[in-house]
This record gives sequence, C-alpha cells and structure tokens, in this order.
Amino acid sequence: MSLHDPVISTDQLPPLDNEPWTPIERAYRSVLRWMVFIWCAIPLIGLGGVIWFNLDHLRFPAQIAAGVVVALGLFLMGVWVPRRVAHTQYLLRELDIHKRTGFWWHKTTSAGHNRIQHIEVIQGPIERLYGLSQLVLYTAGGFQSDVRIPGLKTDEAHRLKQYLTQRIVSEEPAESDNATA
Amino acid sequence: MPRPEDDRLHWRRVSPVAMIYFALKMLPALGQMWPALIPLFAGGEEIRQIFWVWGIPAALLLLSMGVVLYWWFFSFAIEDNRLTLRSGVFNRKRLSLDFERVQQADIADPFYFRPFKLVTLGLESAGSAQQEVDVPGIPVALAESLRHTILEKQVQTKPATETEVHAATSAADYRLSLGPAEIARYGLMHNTLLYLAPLAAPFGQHLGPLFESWLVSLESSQVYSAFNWLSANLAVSVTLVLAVFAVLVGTSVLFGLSVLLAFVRYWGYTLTRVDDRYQSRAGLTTVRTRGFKIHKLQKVTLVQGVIAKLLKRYTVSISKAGGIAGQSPQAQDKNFTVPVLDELNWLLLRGELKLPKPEWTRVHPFSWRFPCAICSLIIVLSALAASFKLGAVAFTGLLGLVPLLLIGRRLWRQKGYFYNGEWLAWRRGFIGFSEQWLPVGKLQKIQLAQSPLKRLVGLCDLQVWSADGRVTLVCLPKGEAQRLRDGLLTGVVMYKKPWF
Repeated sequence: MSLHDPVISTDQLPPLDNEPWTPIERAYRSVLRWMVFIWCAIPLIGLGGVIWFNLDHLRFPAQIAAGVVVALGLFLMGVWVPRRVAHTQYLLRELDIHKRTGFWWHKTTSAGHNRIQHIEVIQGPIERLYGLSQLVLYTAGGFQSDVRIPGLKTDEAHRLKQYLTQRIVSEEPAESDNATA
Repeated sequence: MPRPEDDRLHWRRVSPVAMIYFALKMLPALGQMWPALIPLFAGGEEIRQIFWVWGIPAALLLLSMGVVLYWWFFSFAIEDNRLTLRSGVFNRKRLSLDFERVQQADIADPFYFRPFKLVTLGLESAGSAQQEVDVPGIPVALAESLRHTILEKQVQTKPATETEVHAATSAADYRLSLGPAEIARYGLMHNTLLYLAPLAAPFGQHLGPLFESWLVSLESSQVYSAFNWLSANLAVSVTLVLAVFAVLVGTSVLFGLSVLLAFVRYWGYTLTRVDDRYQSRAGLTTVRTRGFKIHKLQKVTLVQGVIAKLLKRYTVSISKAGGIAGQSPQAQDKNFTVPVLDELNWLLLRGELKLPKPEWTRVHPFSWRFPCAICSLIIVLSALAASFKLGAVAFTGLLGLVPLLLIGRRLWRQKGYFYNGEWLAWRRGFIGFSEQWLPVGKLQKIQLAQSPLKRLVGLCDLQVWSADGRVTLVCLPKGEAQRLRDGLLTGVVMYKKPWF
C-alpha cells in the first residue's frame, strides 16, 4: 500500500540555507520600478484631476493623498525594489526547487520535481523590454500552490523549463513502474 | 454537423424518466432569473395579475420544453476505453472520459428512479482539471457493468493493484455499519440548520403578530396555568418563561429536522474495505455508493465538536485531490465521510488507515501571548479612557481580561503538530478539536514564512499544500521549522509511488 513508506532521515538532503542560492537578474529592479510607477500613476491622474479642477472641499485632501502616493512610490522604488530583488533567489537541486523572497515578510518556498504538474514561461511587456521572463511551476495543490521565479533571463528561463520538463518525464516511468510493481 | 467518428459510435439515449433528474438540475439555474421578478414588485397589481395568469404557466411550459429538449439531445456512447457524452441544445457539448483516468465511480439511486430500476452513474476524473460526469436514468445492470468495465481497465493499467472487481466477489477485510441511533447522533452533532436560525429574523414582523395571537389563545387554555405556576415559583415574569419555552421548542424543531436530514443522507450507512479499496453505501431517498482507493488519499480530517464531545463521538472525512475546489461545499460533499465513530471504531479505522498514535508537540506560546497582550492593552486603554467619563465603574471592564487570557491559553493548548516521517498532523480547537492528517509523500509545496515580528523572536510559520488545500503550522521555532521542512521535503522527493 502506498502509505507503507520507509521512514527517511532528514540527513539525506543537505540543509537548504547552506546551499549556493542563485540571485535573480538585477534588471528585474527596473521591471518592478515600472510597475510601481504605473500603479502610482493611476491614482495620481485621478487626484491630479481633482486638484486641477479645484473642486470644493476636495482639493486639500487630494493634495494630501497625492503626497502620500508620491512618498509611497518613492519609498517603494528607492528602498523596497532593490531589497526585494536582492532577497529573491532560487535554488535548483537534483530532486527539488526552491525560491526565497521577501522584504519584510520572508518566505522560502520548496517543491519536489516529482510534484510539478506543468511549467510555464511568462513574459509581460515590461519584462520583454529588459529581456526577462518568469518561470511558473504548477503543482496539484490548487490555489496559490504554484512556484513563481521572476527576473530570469528569457534564455535561462527556457533552459530551466526544458531541464525540469526532462526531469518530470524521466521520473514518470519510475512512478508507473512502482505502481505496477 | 456530425463528426465522422460519430457514425461508428453506438449512441444511446437515457430513459425518459431522466427528465425528472434534468428538471431538478435546472431548478437552481432558474433562481438566477430573479431579476425578471423585479417588475412584479414595481409594476403594480395589474402586472402581478398577468404574471399569475400567464407568467407562471409560460415559465413551466418553457421549463418542460427545455427539459424535453435537453433529454433528447443528451446521449452517451460506450467504447472499449472511454465513455463519450453529447449534451446541450444550442451550446452542444461533447465530453470523452477515459476509463483509466476515472478517480471515483458512484452509483446513486434516487427515489424517483427506484420504481423503474434506474440509477445515476457518476464518474469523476483525475488530473489537475477535474471533470465530473453524471449519466442519469440508466438501468442498474448497465451502470454496474460500466463500473466493472472501468475497474477492469484500471486492473489492466495497474495489474498489481487489487480492485473492486475483487471486492465484489470476496468478503470485506473491514466493515463498519451505523445503526439509526448513531445516525441520529450525527444529526445532533452537525446541526447546520442552527446557522439558518438568524435568517428567520427578517420574518420577525410577520412572526410577532402570529406569536401575539397564539398567546391570546394560550391564555384561555389550561397550559397557561403551568407557565403561571413556573413563573410564580421561579419568581420571573411569564413573558420570560414563555420566551425560554419558545426558544426550547425552536431549538428542538431545528435539531429534529437535522436528525431527519441525517437519516435521509446516511440511513443504513455501511463502510467496507476489500484490499486497498474502501466503499461506502448510504441514503434513504437516494442510496449512494461511493468508492475510494487508499493511494488516492490526500488528507484525513478528524473532527469533534462540542455536542460530539458530549456524545463521545467523532466524524472523519477523507479527501482526495481537489485543489481549490476542495474547499468549496460541493467538493466537501464529494469527500469520503464516515459520519459517526465512537472511540473504539475510531481506533479501528485509524489502524486501517495506518495512522499512528500521535504525540503532539505544542507550538510556541507566542501564538497566544502576543494576540492576548495586544487585546489586553486595548482593553486597559479603553477602560482608562472610559474612566474619565464614567469614573471607577469603567475599570470593571478589566474583568474581561480573565476570559480573554483563559480562551487564549486554551486555544494554544489545543494547538499542536505531529510528524513521524510518513504523516504530518495539525491539531487545533477550543472545546472540541479538529485534526488534519497529511501523508508526507504527497505534499505539493512547502513554505516557511516569517513576519518581521516573528523574525525578531526567532519564529516561523510552516505552510504545506496538499492536493486538497493548505495547512498552516503557526509559531514554530525557526530551527525546528527548518528541520521539519527539510524532513518533509525528503519525504516528498523520495516518494515514488502513485499518489493521485
């Protein structure tokens, strides 16, 4: 029965923190800055309209809100983006893949190759400007169960995808062999 | 335009009795047409008159025509390896389901099919995009033979795996039967109707006059003297006695209905296991047979609520792959549920599922100390602020700190995790509890998350995704969480058996 697995000690895999993690491309900072700029520009246009037309009672609150948005945007571009990119790293091992990210909220995500259902390489218009892509690994865990590695060179993302696809395919016969054994 | 392969397929139509099934399926869709009723309220008496005379018959006629057309265009074809369905009137749909991909095959026997010896065959496929297929109104023999064909195909795909074909012919290795008393206990334990009670509030304005007229008639009866006697002896007003009586009657009715629903759903419940296949059979109006193979298990949930604790009973739910759909009520209904278990039967089933006896490890006390500290601070500051206006009386609010701390500590004491290399379990609760058991080898994704505050105190949250949703182990010491993560990951990558 499938639930009669032998117990395996944790020593069989080396601790993750001592592994050589690969940082994502520094150019991803520009992608994030563009995205922050666009997200800040949308409310600023609306608030600008309120200030421009000098609407009663709303001009002062709009100026305050615009100031907050500009300050937040500058903070995100100047502090959050570089730290976010510096903290986003991935680690590919023979049997599993990991990603760690986060500026304030640190997250380390791990998935075994044998649990990957399918793989995608995504490239948005801003990423295309900088020759970057995002690798997305889908598992069968449903909502939020995918592993996304942004800020990869497009060529590298495709090579990773190809490698992982081969790994998945090579593991499949082993699984069916075991199933029929 | 018919496809070339349509000619070689032998298309069959289901029995005309299946129109009842289609009509029942269409009823919820009619609910979405509620905006059409708005003119009834806005349009005045004349429009309402026209609606009663013409609208309702027209709607019934349309529904009947829709049902007949749907039945006419619904057909199925059985091939050696797959079942193909054609359905839809304007939006034609064609669905092929390979037998070897079938994850679950249920036979439902609704009361309206029973006199005609017809059943509904429900098939559910595996894969990241789950598909469900119902073939209603087919003869019992055909449904059984289709089910056998599917299982035979699975044998050919996985020769070493024993299947239900064997199950049908051999004695069960494990059997559990639930009598009416146990089913009634389930009705008491899981009274979802209680949640509906607040919905009765909008009808209060209509219930009020009804209640008053009932009181007037009650005053003239002999029963009222009993309330008067109670009121006099307990030194409380008759109104209070009547209110308590009304609440008791209302609650009893809700529990009675809940027990009735439990009988409808789980009457004659039997659970059997032959080799690695479990099968349950239950139902009063619709007898549902549900099969489940042990290697498809993704999560076992053991629940004991407040009433269940008083009755010393548990409920077990075994789920398979479902992802996000696994959280929806419809998907929950598709879970393999053992409605009531006493201590002995739970120990037997636990042994069947190879679940170990857990030794729970508590999470860090930060999980209750910090939220309680924040809430306490808010209470103290509120009392202080209120004291300027109300004086010393405001400090009686500080009494709220006692239950707060007791509840926080109790919640923490109920939290715990267990890991033994094969299983990861998470437990939580207040008066009752729930335990979620995940087979380690089938975990999909593992994540360590640290908020700035938790980083400061060296704690981590460990989140694991199974194919049936996410479980979060909160407030683990960082080193312990990392060791646990590495252990779980080892279990996942070393697991080479079928899991889906």
